[in-house]
Amino acid sequence: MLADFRFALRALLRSPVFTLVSVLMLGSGIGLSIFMFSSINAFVLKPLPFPEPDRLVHFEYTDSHATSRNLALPALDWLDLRERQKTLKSLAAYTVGTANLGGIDGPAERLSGAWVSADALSTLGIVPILGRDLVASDQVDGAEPVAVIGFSLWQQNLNADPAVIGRSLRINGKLTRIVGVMPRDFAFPMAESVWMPLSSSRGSEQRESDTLVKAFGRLLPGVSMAQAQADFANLMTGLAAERGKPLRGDQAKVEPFADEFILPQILGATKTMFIAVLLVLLIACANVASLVMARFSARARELSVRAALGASRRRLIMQVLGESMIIAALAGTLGYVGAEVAGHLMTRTMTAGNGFMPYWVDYRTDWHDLVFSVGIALAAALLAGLVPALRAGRVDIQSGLRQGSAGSIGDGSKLGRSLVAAEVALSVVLLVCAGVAIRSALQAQDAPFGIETDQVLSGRIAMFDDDYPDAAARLRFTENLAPRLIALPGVSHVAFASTLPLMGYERQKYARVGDDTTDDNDRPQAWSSSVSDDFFKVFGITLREGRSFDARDTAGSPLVAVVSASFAKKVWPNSSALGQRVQLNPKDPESPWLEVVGVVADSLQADYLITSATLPAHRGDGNVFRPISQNPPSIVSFALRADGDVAALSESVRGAVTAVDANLPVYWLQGMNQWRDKILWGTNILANLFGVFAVFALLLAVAGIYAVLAFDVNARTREIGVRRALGAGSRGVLGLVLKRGARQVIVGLVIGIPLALAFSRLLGAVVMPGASNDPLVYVVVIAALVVALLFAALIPARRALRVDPMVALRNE
Amino acid sequence: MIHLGKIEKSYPLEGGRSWVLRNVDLDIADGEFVSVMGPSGAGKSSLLNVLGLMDHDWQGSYALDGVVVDKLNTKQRQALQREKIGFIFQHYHLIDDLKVWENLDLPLQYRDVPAKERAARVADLLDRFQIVGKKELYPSQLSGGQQQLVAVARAVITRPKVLLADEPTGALHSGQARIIMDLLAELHKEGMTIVQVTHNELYANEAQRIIRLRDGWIEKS
Repeated sequence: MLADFRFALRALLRSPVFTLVSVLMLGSGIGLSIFMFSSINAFVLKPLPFPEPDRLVHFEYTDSHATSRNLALPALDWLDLRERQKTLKSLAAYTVGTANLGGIDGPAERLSGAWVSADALSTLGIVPILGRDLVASDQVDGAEPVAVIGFSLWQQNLNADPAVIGRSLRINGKLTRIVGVMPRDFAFPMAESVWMPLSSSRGSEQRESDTLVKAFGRLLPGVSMAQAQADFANLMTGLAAERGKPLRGDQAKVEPFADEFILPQILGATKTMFIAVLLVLLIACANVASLVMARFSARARELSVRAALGASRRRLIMQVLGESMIIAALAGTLGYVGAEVAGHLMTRTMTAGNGFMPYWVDYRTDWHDLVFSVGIALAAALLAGLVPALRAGRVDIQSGLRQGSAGSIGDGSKLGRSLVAAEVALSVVLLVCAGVAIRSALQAQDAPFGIETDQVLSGRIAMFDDDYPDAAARLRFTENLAPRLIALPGVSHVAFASTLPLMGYERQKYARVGDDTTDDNDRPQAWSSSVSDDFFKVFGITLREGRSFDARDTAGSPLVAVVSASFAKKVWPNSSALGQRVQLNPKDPESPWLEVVGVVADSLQADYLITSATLPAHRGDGNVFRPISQNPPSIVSFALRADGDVAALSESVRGAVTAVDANLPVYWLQGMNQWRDKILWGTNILANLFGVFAVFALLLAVAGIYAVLAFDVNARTREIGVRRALGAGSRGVLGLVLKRGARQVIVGLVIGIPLALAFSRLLGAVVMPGASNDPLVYVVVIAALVVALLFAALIPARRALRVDPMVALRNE
Repeated sequence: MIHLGKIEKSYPLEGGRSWVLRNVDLDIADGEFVSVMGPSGAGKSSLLNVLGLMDHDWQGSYALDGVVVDKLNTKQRQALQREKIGFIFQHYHLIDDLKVWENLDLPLQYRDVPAKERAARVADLLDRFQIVGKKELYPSQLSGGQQQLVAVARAVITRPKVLLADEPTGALHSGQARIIMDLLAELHKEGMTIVQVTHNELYANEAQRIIRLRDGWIEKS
């Protein structure tokens, strides 16, 4: 057996081109499969970095009106449910937000922090490595502000000071004492680096609408998730009845802890892509199988000699399978290394880039991946080598040894042709999916954002109560900052807003005068933002009617709004919107009525591309803008339009902010084009990945068609010679070659198109709801395959045309 | 050693059958050296394939060294072949990817001979055939005569009772052919049963007996 492997290895070394091509083909298929598997492994299979992770669950509300997948809980609900629930050890809660860090040497820094209940960290089962956990008394209003800090914050910002416990930091303007340091890599819930107590005070009635929290807990022994969900559903019904009004959500949802953090779209996309890469692998296997077949058909004499010398069937099979196994082992190693490198890159992109993934998602390969890799390489070896090997086992000794016989290990060419037709069919599936994905991405690129993102730099600043206790203080800050920003070189306009386009306007229910709806659930929604006078100029949003905001709109003047054209048309279809009145968040009795003074062109909200497709109710009816002077937010975004490279202004912008308040860090400082790219990231990456898979598939199909045609031309040299001698012209010879390839392509298309229809529908349902089966995609795919066929036929056709009848016949 | 009784072999053809071997009765004694002659298509190679147990599709009876072949299944025939038969082909059929000594080693591997014994037997034959200096070369680095020498060595390394040679000198010039014929004569002297197919009257006459085939029939002398 060992000797068979040794000989197989040597035979491969003596055919370096065959070996290299096979290893590369199989390696790419295996590598892609391992990479996609490690993504699934990272999302689903790897255990969470907490003790007994299976017992950890997340609890949320959902809304049967399906406006959202999950709804956070109002803090008051959490407090009530925490006391009443009987299925979890405790119901912990958290909320995340900005933690402006000051008080250490160097400029102020914006961190992402979490406000957690005192039992949150212990529920997770993670204890601080220094100091103590948060305790219930920390949560009481008026308690001394304390924080548990993350390992890297301790290491990098506090120089790993061993006496860090008891030191104070300035967080969001409050002097906060450090009471603990968490272990390395802990960043619950997503990428946070400081944990502060979540207030457990019921406080004023206002609290309900102010704070929303996410809740989680550990199932008590013997309690299932379904039981917990039923318990919470009962408690919610009781709570709503007790309060005499509906809760924020009308259904309870208890789900595995990780499910809260991994978006179903991402998981769905990953699984779909996993299927896609398995198709690529199948194509690669078919290709290598057909190459191995061709190779051993040419080596039939050798196999016959071995059989005549006494080689058993098993030894002959092992001879062929040995080569496939060595190829698969090399390809598996190559694929594993490739997947490892891609995994590192992906981790970097995911964590540094978009914050889509929680900190514990790790793409680096582990034993699951290793087992999968070995398994997939073995499967590939069998898929690629078993059929040729079994045929080798049935070698016809007499025909193989006959003088001048090219020999055969069964009708290899027929099987090769079937394999190529199968490859073409699978390529059609991948090409169609890539086409659909690319069409979606192009449509998304062309989506009417309604804003000009070039030459605009944006950033965000969070102001907290201790330094900015009221609206006037916050407004003063923006008024002080504006002239410093406009004075920067090349800057033409500066705007402030509660949220900027593409970052996500705030979705709010609204009412108009005369609405008879009283149930808040039935009210329509709009996207709103508070913006400064120059906002529409910075983003190139044109004024259609009335006026924009200006100096007339002050805190004390009549409350006004500017609405988008689609909002105006939807809400007041038969009259002008000017002078009409609209109320945002009508559930709040103190919410003011706003008079519409202007209508501007439409601009899309941030997550349009995700939500418009998945949750139609998210679309909203358009935009309602308020003047920032009448509703100044505590966290404010700014945008400035400038000539030249806006990114080069970053440091000057930070300097301007520091000059106004050295304790306020600027974050998310980037060009608006980057926001645009971020929004399109998901669609683009899907299109890119499918594009890569499809290119692989097409290349493999070309290689497959080429191999079959080359083999065919070689085997039919005599026939071609005879035909030439009988007067066949170049066209006749070319037709002979192309007809063989065309048959494979046609059979492949006939099988592949229905498969592609089904698979692309699946793709649409799972990841790209907007994607449709566009006939153009199919036309392009068919054209691509015809071009591929012509390309693959090029060299065999040239060889066929060069066949000299005299030489061909003499050889015989 | 060999007893063939009424061996017949044919292929179905449209409107009849194409006969390859007709009613072949043949006895070859242990240690006998026999030449098979006949024009192209007479059935020489087919007869050799039947004798060498490479062809199982025939009618009649065949006993090899006392074993009734027609009663054996495929596996048993293969085992019998491994034990009793050695082959020499006109076109040598050495394995291109294997060195000279590995080509000799291969049949022993297929017979699960222990490595130590294999090495000893290979060394012995390399010495005896005076090809020690060529042991590390590949077949493509040898002349035709040298390749056939290796092929003969490979055929006898398993110590078969019967050596079947299909035109062993057919592809060689006279000098090389002479060496091979001398070698066959030597093996015969040592007691090996040899059946050679040849077109060369001179070499055929070096055998003890000549069997002539025509259209699948053995010609009566």
